[in-house]
Amino acid sequence: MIDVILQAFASIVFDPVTLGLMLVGTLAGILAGAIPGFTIAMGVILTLPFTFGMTAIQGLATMLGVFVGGFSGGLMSCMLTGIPGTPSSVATTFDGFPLVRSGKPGLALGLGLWSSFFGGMISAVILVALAPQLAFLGLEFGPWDYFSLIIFALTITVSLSGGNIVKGLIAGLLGLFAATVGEDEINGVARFTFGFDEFKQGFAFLPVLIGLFAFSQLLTDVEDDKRAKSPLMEKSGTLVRVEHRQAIAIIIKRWINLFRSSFIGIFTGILPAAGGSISNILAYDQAKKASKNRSNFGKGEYDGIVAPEAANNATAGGALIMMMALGIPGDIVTAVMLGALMIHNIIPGPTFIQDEPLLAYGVFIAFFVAHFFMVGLQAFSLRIFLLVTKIPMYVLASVILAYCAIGVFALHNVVFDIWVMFFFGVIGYFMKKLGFPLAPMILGVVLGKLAELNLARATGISDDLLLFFLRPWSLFFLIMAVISVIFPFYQDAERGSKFSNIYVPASVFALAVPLLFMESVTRLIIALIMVGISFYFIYKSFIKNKLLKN
Amino acid sequence: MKASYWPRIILWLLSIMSLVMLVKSFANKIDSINAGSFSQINYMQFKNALICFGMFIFFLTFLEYLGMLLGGIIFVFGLLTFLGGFSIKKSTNHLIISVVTIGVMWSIFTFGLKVILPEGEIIRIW
Repeated sequence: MIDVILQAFASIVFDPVTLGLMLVGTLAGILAGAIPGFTIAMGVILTLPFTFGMTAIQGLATMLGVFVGGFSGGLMSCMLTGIPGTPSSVATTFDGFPLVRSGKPGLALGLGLWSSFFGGMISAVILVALAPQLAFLGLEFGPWDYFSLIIFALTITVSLSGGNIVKGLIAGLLGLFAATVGEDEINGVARFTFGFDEFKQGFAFLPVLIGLFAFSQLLTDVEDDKRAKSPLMEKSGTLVRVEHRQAIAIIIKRWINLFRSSFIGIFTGILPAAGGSISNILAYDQAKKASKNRSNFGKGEYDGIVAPEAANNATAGGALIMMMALGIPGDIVTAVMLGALMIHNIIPGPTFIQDEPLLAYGVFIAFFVAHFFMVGLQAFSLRIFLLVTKIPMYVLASVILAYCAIGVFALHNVVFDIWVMFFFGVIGYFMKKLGFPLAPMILGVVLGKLAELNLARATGISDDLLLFFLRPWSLFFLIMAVISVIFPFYQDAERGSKFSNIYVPASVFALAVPLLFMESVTRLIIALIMVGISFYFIYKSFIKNKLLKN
Repeated sequence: MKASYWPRIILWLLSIMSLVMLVKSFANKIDSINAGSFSQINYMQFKNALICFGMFIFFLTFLEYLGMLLGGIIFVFGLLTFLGGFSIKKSTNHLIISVVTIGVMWSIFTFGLKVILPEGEIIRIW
């Protein structure tokens, strides 16, 4: 084990090419995160074509640089201009911008930067500790359980992507459908090819992803004539000196907030589809509730910067846990990384850490290293950020559209892939216009083939479809899927209504049932605790209702 | 499992969801005055997106003849001109941007990543 870790460490830290690529990746990520209209996911997607010619570890390390850099890049624009660079830094604006306006820009940036660093480090430790354990758990899964897990990943993406749940489900199903085009992997029968040979291979993952996500986003960015022609940011801020020592001292004094927020970030990251955009607000909310100085929040409170920044960087580690352990992407970024691994003929799954230990531990180490780069590059990237913000959006969009075409072509050296990207770009653009979330569709495309393969394996072993409900893990994930579909209705329900009172205890109880049937004393104890908790919730709401009636 | 099994499940579910959406749209009370109609949709909001679509189709259609380098430069220059407006100063800037950016990208992929990008018949004959 130690020799594998040392080898992985050497392949990252002692390889100047990998380090150089990570450096460039982190810088690109910081800029992508800092520019409004660009997202971290877009940064990672656009990095992917460059990684074709690299080794798997170099490619993943570069993308991790973009991923980690992106989370901290958002804080620059939100603090200096009051406009969040990414949705992951929305809550940082609440206290970061007022602190800058009160004359402490160096301290505000320092707090954001070092909170991101510490949050990332905490999540990196949890990633190293938890991913191999979770992978062991994944070894218990049969095809039934895997299929149900994919269904859960899709439904939770739908429920957390916001908006209309029916539209979300349609988007997810369209993604699954897109993945069926071409020869099926089990029988080799061509489907939906309409006589075109190009369709037989199916749609490659990268053109679909770039089309749906990057292409459609660029079209949206240039939609408004006036906005497209004006510089990316009217107010681009000024160069400031980051107060490192003071910021670190303040954060260490607030270690409870730091750890709480980091754990919120990790947990949110583990949930499929729940990314930094949710974790930063959740952490901010919890920090505010726990603080003695609640009235200072929104006026430049230090805790209000530490919480969201620690949480959003910790989310990255959480999302990686699911990808590394089970091969299920936690968000769009990890879906892209999964695609990058597939390009190198590596299929992530529960055996990934065992089969590819060098690569797996390389990812862990690259995640650590990227955080050091992020801190080191902040001053330099701030200068570039101030330059980039002067460029109008239409210039950036035109150049990136051409880059997308070149990058997609580089995948298989066929022009058909560029047509696929264009086709899905148009679909993505109009879906966005009509209020369909794109995240479920992307996950559907990524997981479609895996879902079909596991369904085929399951039905190949036994015709009994009831096994999907009789196997404990499969039932567990199906219950999770149902809970996640109902979750938006719970959010909309009135507090104190019968439905909102019963939702949480019923969900906890339902999840305890499959755990009771697993052959493990620990899981039995957890199940009994869950049953106890659900009865406690019911008792509490019963007493509350009784008091209200009296 | 038959090859048609999985797509059929998806299509059945898609049909059901579409039906649910249709029923929901009928059930929602729409203010007939503010609901708008096709004739009231501001098609101008799609102008820039349509320009991008058009330029991209042009780029892809003539890629075989123009190649990635020349085609890319024409695509970026055309798009910059359509989206950013036309004047001598602007066009000069747009030309410089398109030549430099596409040139750099082409060089990275051709020499750095060893990707053989479409050369184009024009350059080949030339």
